[in-house]
Amino acid sequence: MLKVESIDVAYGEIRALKSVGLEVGRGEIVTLLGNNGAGKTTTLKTISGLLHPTQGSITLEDESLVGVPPHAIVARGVAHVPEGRRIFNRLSVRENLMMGAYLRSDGKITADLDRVFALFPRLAERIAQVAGTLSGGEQQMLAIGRALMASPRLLLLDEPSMGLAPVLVEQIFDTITDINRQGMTILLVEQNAAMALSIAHRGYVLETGSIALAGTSTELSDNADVRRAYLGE
Amino acid sequence: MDVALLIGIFPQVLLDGIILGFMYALIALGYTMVYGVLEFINFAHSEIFIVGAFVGVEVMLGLKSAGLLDGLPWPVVLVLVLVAGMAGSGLLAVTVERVAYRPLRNAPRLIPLISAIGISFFLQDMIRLFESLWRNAFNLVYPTLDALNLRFELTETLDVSVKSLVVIGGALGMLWALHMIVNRTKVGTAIRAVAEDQAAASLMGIDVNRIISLTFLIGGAMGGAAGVLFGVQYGLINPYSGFIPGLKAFTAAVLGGIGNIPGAMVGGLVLGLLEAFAASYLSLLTGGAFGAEYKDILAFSILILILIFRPKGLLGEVVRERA
Repeated sequence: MLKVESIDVAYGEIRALKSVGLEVGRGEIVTLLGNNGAGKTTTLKTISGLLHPTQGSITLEDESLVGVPPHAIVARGVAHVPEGRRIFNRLSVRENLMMGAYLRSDGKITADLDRVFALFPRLAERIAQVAGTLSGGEQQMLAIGRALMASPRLLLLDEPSMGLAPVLVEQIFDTITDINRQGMTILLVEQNAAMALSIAHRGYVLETGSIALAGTSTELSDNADVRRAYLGE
Repeated sequence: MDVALLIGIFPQVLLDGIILGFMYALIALGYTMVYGVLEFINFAHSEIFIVGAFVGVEVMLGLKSAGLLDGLPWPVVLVLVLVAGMAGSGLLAVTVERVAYRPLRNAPRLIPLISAIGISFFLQDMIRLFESLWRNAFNLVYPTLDALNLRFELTETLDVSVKSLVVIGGALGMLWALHMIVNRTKVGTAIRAVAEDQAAASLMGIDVNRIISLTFLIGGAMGGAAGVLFGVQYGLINPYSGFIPGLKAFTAAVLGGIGNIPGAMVGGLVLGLLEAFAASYLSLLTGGAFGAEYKDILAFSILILILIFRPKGLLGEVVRERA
């Protein structure tokens, strides 16, 4: 579904990504692992059009996404849950969710709203509340729910576990698995490699802007380097 | 001190203050909405406001020379003039953003500010040039509509003209419409989303540039409406008469909490009332030592005091963010 081929991305003089390539197939959860600054967030931002590659190609179902502005990439079916959640603090929970569905005018918006509430009942309880007053876990639920409201083909998740208590992390990851089982294709960026590999089908390891390793989750979990560097053994 | 007089003029002063305050509020919305989405002060907004007044007077003079000014019912004339003024100012604001601000979007903060000041001077002199060529005069007077000058004497010291009621009604209508657009519609929610986080808004599929244009359109239209109401209320306009009301409306926006829409309304009203009361009461209360000409000094001293104690403005936002 998504094919990223040898992209280079630079922040001014600094090259953040060097010839990064990856693929996400329909229905998969693919995880992108790596340390801080390895280029995980940069990769997602480039896919969703917030950053532009200086080289290489990005295609979604064989249509190029390079040079397409972010709002038009959403229209092509890519929803991005950014690092740090970036929910609209001053908008209500309902307004945040409706912004997720900004481009839609089909009749299924209400049905999707119900679906999001089924996944995250807490959001239904807080529907009229201003989003800035939600707890960290609730904000993460809102960020994911908001992205689902776009009814995307591909969901990009950037560090959904960030800043959350372990019990909440497990809940969020269970929900991600559920969303995937309902047919969603997911590209997941995580620092918490153990959790990510436990739910992903395949993974890539980014090191200082380049892909160092690729394989199925089992292969990566069994890899000695991965175990030492990312799984704390 | 004549206490009876002080009390007697109170309702009239209150009315004048409210009219002035609504005028400031309508203009202040343009500053505050643009600041909300771009964190940028559109110093050309005072000219966008006065262009509305000029478009209005041109439509009225046009109707007059066509013999329609007294032929059409006055509410129709007013609506026509208001719509024309709003359209003129709104489109001008959108054009100014496209030409003078958007290319500087990523430049250091001061650069678009200088561009705005340049546009402000440019527009003043363009109005002057145009009107000088077209009418041989750039001080123009709003044609009077007899129905608007009808006055109701409510008490010995309070009489209300139809004009005042129209200005208050028009301003209230605009503020209500704006409130509904911003808080009850999808594009309004998108404006608030863009104001809060442009990158996140673009990830929702929102075309940020279109929302910015829309913000200039709405803010400009509110300014244009204020321009028409200003002309109807005070009669005489010239290309430079936008400057002082613009500056005061900007102050009102800061007073209410810049970027905050209800704040602009409250700030405008507070400033208008302060000014009206200072103008009428200063000389009475000081036995003539300080006349009405000190009204701005008093009004602005109070503003400074308010801002010392509430630096974010009366309704400045304090949203608690939790990680």
